[in-house]
Amino acid sequence: MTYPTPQTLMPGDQFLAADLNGNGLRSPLRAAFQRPRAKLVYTGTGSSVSGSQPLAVAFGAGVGSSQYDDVWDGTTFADQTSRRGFLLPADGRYRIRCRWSWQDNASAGSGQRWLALYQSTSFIAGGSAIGNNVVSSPDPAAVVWGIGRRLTSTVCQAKFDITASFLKGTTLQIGVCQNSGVTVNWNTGIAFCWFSCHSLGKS
Amino acid sequence: MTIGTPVTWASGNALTATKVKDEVEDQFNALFSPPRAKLFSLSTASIASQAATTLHTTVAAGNLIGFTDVEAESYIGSMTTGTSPWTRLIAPVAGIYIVSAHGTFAANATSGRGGILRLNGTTWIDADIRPASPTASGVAPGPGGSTGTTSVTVTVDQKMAANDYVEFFMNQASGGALNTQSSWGYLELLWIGNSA
Repeated sequence: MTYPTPQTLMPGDQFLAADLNGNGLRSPLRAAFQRPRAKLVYTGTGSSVSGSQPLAVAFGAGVGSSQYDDVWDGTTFADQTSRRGFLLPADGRYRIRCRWSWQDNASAGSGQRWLALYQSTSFIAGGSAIGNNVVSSPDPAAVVWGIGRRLTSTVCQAKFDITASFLKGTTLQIGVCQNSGVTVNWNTGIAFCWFSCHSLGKS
Repeated sequence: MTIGTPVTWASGNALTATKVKDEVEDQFNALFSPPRAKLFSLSTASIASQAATTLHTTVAAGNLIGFTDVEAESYIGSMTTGTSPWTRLIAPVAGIYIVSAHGTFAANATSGRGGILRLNGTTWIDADIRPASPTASGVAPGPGGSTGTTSVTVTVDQKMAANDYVEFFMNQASGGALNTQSSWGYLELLWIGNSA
């Protein structure tokens, strides 16, 4: 997928219907209005075992859904295998947001909660539907952390909201972890565990 | 004409002034000035306390936040309804929107606070549930607040149909009624494009 380049007209050029449909008007407009964007929502049951390494999250069938996945040319943006994250279809700048929530109560222990964004050239192996596999060999330079503050008796949340440039083919995936000493369930649902990305244009 | 959905041209279509307005001027207007509206000047409200264990599940009618000012840039339909204080923003056209809101509670260090975005009167689409900020001196206040105030902020990408609407709620579990900080706070809706 490449962004259309608006057509340059020269003196004497005839402006035909094909030009209006192509790079003369319609194609760049469609691309501008429907830039790559997708949102994944976790709606199943999941949990984080206690540990210091993030757990890869997959929004697979039965536990997650894609609220939308749009690119003007029909390219899919979210990973279609098990909804592990986003496969960026073009060089450009992207805005990426995520919120993650854990259930919490006095018996769920203390400690911290973390949320990480991973950039790679392929989806990190081990992202299961329940997300109980440890992310292997993440690139430290590519990790963005959202650090949650624990609130006893209700939920604990972490969130990030960043803008960054990436190359075509980059995969974006999230991992979550906590170190309470016990397994903590996620507080899932469309308001509590979601991961979205949209293009801000080509670079 | 539907913004965000340029027509397919056929051979022989006349490029009339109306067509140019609909398919060039209005489309580019939508790109450069997408429909957006912001409610601001949050009305002071007294928010009743509730159990901390329900902050992420329950909002009462009294938790709905109203605003006394509106700033709207939409040439394809109103994004508000009624009169001040406004409590909801309406999508004038289908598409993907960025929905954001912010509010601040008066100083109090007990238990938790919440800020919730709700779609069409029922569906929570984002929720910021957090501990109350400490009241000790030296702790940086939330935006628009003084020491010990707690701010809640929500921002989410959301697919909406035309006439869908969003509202902002705040809840808290301090043990007693707690005021929201007047003036500081907003609810914003920004169209970022259409959806297939």
